[in-house]
Amino acid sequence: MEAEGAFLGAGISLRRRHLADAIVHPEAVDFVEIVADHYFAGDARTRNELGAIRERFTVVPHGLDLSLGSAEGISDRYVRRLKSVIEAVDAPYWSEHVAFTHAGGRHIGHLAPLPMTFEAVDVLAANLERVRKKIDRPLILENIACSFDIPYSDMDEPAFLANLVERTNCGLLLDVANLYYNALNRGLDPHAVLAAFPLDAVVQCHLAGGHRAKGEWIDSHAFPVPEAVWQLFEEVVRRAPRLRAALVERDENLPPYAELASEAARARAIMTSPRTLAMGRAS
Amino acid sequence: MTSAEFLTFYALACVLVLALAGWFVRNADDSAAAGRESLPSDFDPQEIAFLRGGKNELVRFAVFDLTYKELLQLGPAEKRRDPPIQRTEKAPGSSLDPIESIVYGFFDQPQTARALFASDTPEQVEKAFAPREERLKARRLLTDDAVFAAAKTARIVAFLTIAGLCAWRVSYALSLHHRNIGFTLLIALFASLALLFVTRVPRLSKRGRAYVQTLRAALPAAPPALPMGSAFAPAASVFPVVVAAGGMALLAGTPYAGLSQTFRRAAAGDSASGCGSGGGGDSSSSCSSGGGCGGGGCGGGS
Repeated sequence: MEAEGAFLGAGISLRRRHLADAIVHPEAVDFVEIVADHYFAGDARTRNELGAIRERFTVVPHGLDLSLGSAEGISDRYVRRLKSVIEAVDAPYWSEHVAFTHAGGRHIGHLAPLPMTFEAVDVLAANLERVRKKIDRPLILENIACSFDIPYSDMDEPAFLANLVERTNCGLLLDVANLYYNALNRGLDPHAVLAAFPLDAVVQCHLAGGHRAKGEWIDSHAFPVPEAVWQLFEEVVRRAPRLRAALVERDENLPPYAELASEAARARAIMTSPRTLAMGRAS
Repeated sequence: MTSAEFLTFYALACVLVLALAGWFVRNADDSAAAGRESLPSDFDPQEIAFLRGGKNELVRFAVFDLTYKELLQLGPAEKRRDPPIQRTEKAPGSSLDPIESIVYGFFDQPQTARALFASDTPEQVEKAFAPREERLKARRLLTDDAVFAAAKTARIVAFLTIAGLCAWRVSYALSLHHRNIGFTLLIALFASLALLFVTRVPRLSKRGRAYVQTLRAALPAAPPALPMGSAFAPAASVFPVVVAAGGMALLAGTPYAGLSQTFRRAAAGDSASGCGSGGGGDSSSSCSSGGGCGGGGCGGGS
């Protein structure tokens, strides 16, 4: 399996609105994730901003629009732009979603779920191979939010991801909130879903808080991480031997930087807690 | 050589001289070879303000910072008159640094921003900042004296070339009792003015300019029109650093917007009287360099 480097600790998904705070108070977090797509402009300001972030933090770029699940393949132009960001911040690894955002030449504008089929694994593996030829940093793949079972699937999501890992040798980015809300929306026990998840491959976790609307849970990244997600995360820490990073995501209702940093501190405490680690060794 | 041929030759020669002079001055600054200046572990907002706009920007920042610390406040505006800046009831104690002490001292009576810049306060502030300015020079963020000397040399040599060719042509024409020397003189005049422009030396070195650009990119403001205390605004301790990097325009939409407006009025009043006078609209040592209001500086909402 690809080596994603050293233990990173706890971070935040850095948004521009928190940039000044983060630059002045970098000690509050161990690393940051940036949305790579936000830095594709490549102008002087973007380069300066990336340089400053790189100077302060270890940076993990997170792609949104590579569309690894597209049967029609991926955009070389997008891969080039992604590569330039990844190299600019000297990322130890980068991440993308197990999803597609383009189909039939059209941009969907959304992370669309894939059917959990062997054909989809083939498509992902082929696209991944193309990406790896151009970007030599390790890639980890994230489970997305999806509130229903995809029809005509050959397997469930944990089995699908396990197949993908076996086929591609990729690490996983486990979005604990996605797992939690997906399970609730499907009437499943989140802990049971987590138990089936290929935790051996999990390198990084995303933590976020969503909300309920019209009877459905939405991973809106708009609220603090709920206790149930923290409990799942503790379980992940105990059972994921390759876990080296966790970060708090917030995209709406942006709180002050200090609030996000305090959530990151809680994640760090869980990751480094002797009790959690001892339980992990015992299990 | 006919007159037309000479004018063409002379114009081309002037362009060449200007290009060479400009190239010489730009290349005299080798500060970029020292590498990129790292971001500091502790940001000094006064240093950032000085880098951005010299002594006047430093004075503006000091007024803002004292207001932010609730030691100064903007008084009520009278009709068609700038609102005065005045002290609050709060006692400063011993917390003021030398720059703040000078600026705070000026406001023992309510005074307008225009009066502040018309006084010798900016000079006093510059003098108090001198040791730190020397350190900025040592870090090669400000233009070396050697670059100014090189620019002076380039200016003299280029001017002598332009003027020499002009003088030769004029004397030749006059010796033949020709009077068609107007275009030659016009080209010489334009070239001399252009020479001043192309050989101007920025206050900041290449390294300094790159550093300021990095600071501005690394310390972006909260979206405009969001008051302090809103969820998007930077933390209280970070806000002065952001203002130092981005300028007074960032105060638009905050409780300190009045300061931004009064500084802008002071700068506008000053611009009528030309570069270098006291309204605070320019930078301290060069009309042409990174002015005090620059980079989104004194104007309204960015």
